[in-house]
Amino acid sequence: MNVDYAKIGLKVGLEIHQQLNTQTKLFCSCPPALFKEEPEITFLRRLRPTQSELGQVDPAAFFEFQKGVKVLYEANRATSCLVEMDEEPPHPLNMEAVEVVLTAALMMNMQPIDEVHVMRKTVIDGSNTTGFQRTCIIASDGWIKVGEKTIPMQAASLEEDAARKTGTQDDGKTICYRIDRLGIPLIEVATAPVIYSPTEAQEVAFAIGRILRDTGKVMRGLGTIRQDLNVSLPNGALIEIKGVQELELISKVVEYEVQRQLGLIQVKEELQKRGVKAEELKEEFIDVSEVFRQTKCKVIRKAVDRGQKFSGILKRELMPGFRVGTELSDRAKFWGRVGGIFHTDEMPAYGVTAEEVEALRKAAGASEEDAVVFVADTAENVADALKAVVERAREAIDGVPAETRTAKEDGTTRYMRPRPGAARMYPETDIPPSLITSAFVDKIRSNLPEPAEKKLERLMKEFSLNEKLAKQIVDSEYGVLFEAVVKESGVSATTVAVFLTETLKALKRDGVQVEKVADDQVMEIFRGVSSGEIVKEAVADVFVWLSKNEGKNLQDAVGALGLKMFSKAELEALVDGAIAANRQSVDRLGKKAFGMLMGIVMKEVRGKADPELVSKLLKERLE
Amino acid sequence: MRKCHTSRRDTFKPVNATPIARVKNNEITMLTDDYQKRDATKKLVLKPKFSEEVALVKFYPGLDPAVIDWYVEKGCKGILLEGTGLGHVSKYCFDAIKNAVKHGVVVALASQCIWGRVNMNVYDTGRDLLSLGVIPLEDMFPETALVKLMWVLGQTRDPKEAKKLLKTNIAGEFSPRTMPDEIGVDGESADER
Repeated sequence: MNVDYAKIGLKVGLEIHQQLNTQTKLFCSCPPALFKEEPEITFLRRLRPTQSELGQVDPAAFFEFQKGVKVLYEANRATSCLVEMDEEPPHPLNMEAVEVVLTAALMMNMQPIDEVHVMRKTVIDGSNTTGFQRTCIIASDGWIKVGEKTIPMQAASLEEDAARKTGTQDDGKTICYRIDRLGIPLIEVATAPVIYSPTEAQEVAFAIGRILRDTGKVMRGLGTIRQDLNVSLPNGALIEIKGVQELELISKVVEYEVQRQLGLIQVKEELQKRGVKAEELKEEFIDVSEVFRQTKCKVIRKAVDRGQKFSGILKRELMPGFRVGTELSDRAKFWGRVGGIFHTDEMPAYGVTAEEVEALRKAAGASEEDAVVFVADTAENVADALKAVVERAREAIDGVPAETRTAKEDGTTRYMRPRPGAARMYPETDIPPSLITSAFVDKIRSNLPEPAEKKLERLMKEFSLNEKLAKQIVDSEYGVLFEAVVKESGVSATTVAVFLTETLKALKRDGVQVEKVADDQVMEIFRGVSSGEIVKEAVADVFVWLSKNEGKNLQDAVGALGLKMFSKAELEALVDGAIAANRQSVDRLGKKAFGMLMGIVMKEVRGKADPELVSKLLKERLE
Repeated sequence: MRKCHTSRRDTFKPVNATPIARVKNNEITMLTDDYQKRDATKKLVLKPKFSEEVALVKFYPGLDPAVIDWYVEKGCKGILLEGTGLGHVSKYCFDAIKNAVKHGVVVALASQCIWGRVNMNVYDTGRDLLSLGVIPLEDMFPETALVKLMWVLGQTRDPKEAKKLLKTNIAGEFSPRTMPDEIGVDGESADER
C-alpha cells in the first residue's frame, strides 16, 4: 500500500521501556533475574476491589472482580522475597537505577527533576501482586537528534516491571504469573508525537535504543525491551499500541495501524452513505437455538443480533488476516468472555449450511442489506458479548474508536482494553521521596558515556577496527561486551567484532536464539580460543550448541561437538603417518610436497588443530 | 536463632532465616551457601570491648516516657526501643526520644514481632520517629540488636560512627531479603489453596 503519510497527517509518539541491569531490583534486594526451573513457592490470590485513598472503586477493577478470576503466583528463593509477594512494604528506591535513568536522560538533554515521587498506577490483570505498578518521573523536556531532525523527548521515568504470565489453569479461570520479573527496574522514555512516517518511527526508536545501550546498564535480548506506540490520524483516533518487542517490527506496526484506520474511515463513509444511524442498532437479541437445533456446527447454540445495513462490511480486510468482523469479535471476547462470534458475511462456513443461514436471517428479520451476528455460549456471556458487538458497530459509524491495542508478532494489533482514564495514578505512600541534588547530577554529568561518534573513532584507533566493523559494533547491543572480551581474552579485535556483529546476525537469521547465550559464556568461548582449547573457526558451532543446551559450559560443548583439540604429539604422529603413506611423492618432490601433505593432514584435523602448528610440524619434518 | 519454647527440645529455631545445615547421624548437610566460611587467609582481629551504658525499652500503651528521661540522666549512651509492628512508638514518647537524641544518645529500634522487618516509611509514626533520628534495625531481634548496640558503643562514642556501624551487616545479624518460608511451620501458608 502506497500511502503519503505526510498528506494524511500521521502522527506517532514512542514510549520505550527497557530493563536495567542493576545489582538489585527497584524496591528490594533481590537480583533482577528470571528462573526457568519449576517454582519452589506458589500462592493463590484473588482480586478484590477496595476503595482507594480517594474513596473510589476502580470500575475496571470491579469488572475484573466480577469475572471471579484467581491468580496463581510462582516464585523461587533466588529471585523473589516478601516484597514481590506484597507481604512486606517496598524498600527505599534503588538509587543505582535512578542513576542509570539520569544518565540516559542527560544524554537526551533532559532536565532532571529535583525530588522523585513514586506513584502507583492501577493494574488489574494480576501481573502485579499489589494491584498497581510503581512508577516515577526522573527527568523531562529534552531532545535528541535523529539525522537532521530534532525529536523532542517528553520524559524519562523509572518503573517496576510486572510479573510474567506463564499460562492458565482450569479453563482460564486461574491465571499463572511468575513473580521473578516483578520489580526489575525499567526505564521508560517517551517522545513527543512528532514522528510522521513508519520508517521515521523505527529510526527514532533505534536512536533511543542506542543511547540506552550506551549507558552500559540495560539488559539485552528478547523481552528486555518493549516499545509502545501512540498512532493517530486526523480523521481517525489516537490509538495506543502496547508491547512491540522487536525494533524491526515498529515500521510494520505503524503501517498496519494506518491501514486499519484508513479502512475504518472508509467503513464509516460507506455506513454514512447507507444512512445507518446509531439508534437503529438496538440491543435486541433473539434466541435462535431453534434454527441450529440440527446443526453440524458443534459450537453453535444461541442468540443473534441484527446489524442494520451492515451486509458486506464485516468481511472487509483491515490488516492481513484481520477484518471488520475481527474488531467486533475482539470486543465480544473481551467483554463477553466468549470464544468469538459468527456473522453472515463469512457464511456459509464452519459447518453452518446455506439453509441455516437463510433460516437465521428470517428469524432475525434481516434483509439483504443487513448482517447477522450470532454467538454461542451461556445466556449471560452471550448477552455481554452481543452488547459489546452492538457498541462496536455503533462506533463504526463514527470511524475509529480510541482504544489500547496490543501488538502481535506479525505486526498486526488486537483490541486490548479501552483507553484508561486520566486518573489512574496516585501517590505511593510507603516510599519516601528521594532528592536529586545538583551535586548528584553534576557527578553523573561529568561521567556520561562517550557519544556514538567518539566511540566509533576510539574503537577504530584503539582496536584497529575498520570503519564498517567499528560502526557495526557501535550500532549493536554488544559494544560493552566486545571491549571486555578483547581485553580479557586477547583474541584479535577483528575476530571478536566480526563474530559479535555479522556472525550473530547470520545465526539469528537462521533461527538461532542468540539471547540464550549469556555474556559470560561468550567470554568463556573466546577465552577458550586464546588458551587453545578451541580454534576460532569453531566459535560459531560452540555458540549455537550452547544456545540449544542451556546451563552447559564450554567443556560440555567441546565434548558434545567432538572438538577436542589434537595434542602436539598426536599431530606429529599424523604428520609422520602422512609422510610415510606418501613416501614416493615425498622423495620425488622434497619440500614441494608440503602443499599436498598439508591438505591431507588438515582434512583430518580441521577445526581441531591450529593450522599454523600443523604447518610448522610439517616443515620441520620436510627439512 | 531464638529460643521459642519454654521447655521443648526443639525450642531453638532460626527466625528470619532458614537453617544453615542439618546434622543427622553425625553427618552434616549444608542447606545454604549464605554463611561466613572459614578463611585461613583472613587475620583474626579481636574487638572485645562492650559498653554497658545501654538500655532496652519495650514500648507498650501506657509506658511512662520518664523512663527514657531517667536513662538519659543516668548517662546512658544507647537506647534500644522495642517498637510495635513495622516499628512504632506512640507520639506521647516523642519528646523524651528527641531529648535523648539531643543528648547524643544513640536511639535505635527493632520490632516486638518475632518475624519480619521494620519499615518506618509506611506510617506517619514511623516517619516521625525517623525524623527524630531513630535508627531502624531491619530484621534484627531486639535481643541481638541490644548486644550489637553494646558492642558498637564499645568501639566508638561518636553517634554518627555508631549509626554507621549499626547499619553495617557485620556477621549476618540482619539480611536484606526475607524469604516467604521463613515463618512458622514448614510449608504452611495463610493463603487459601
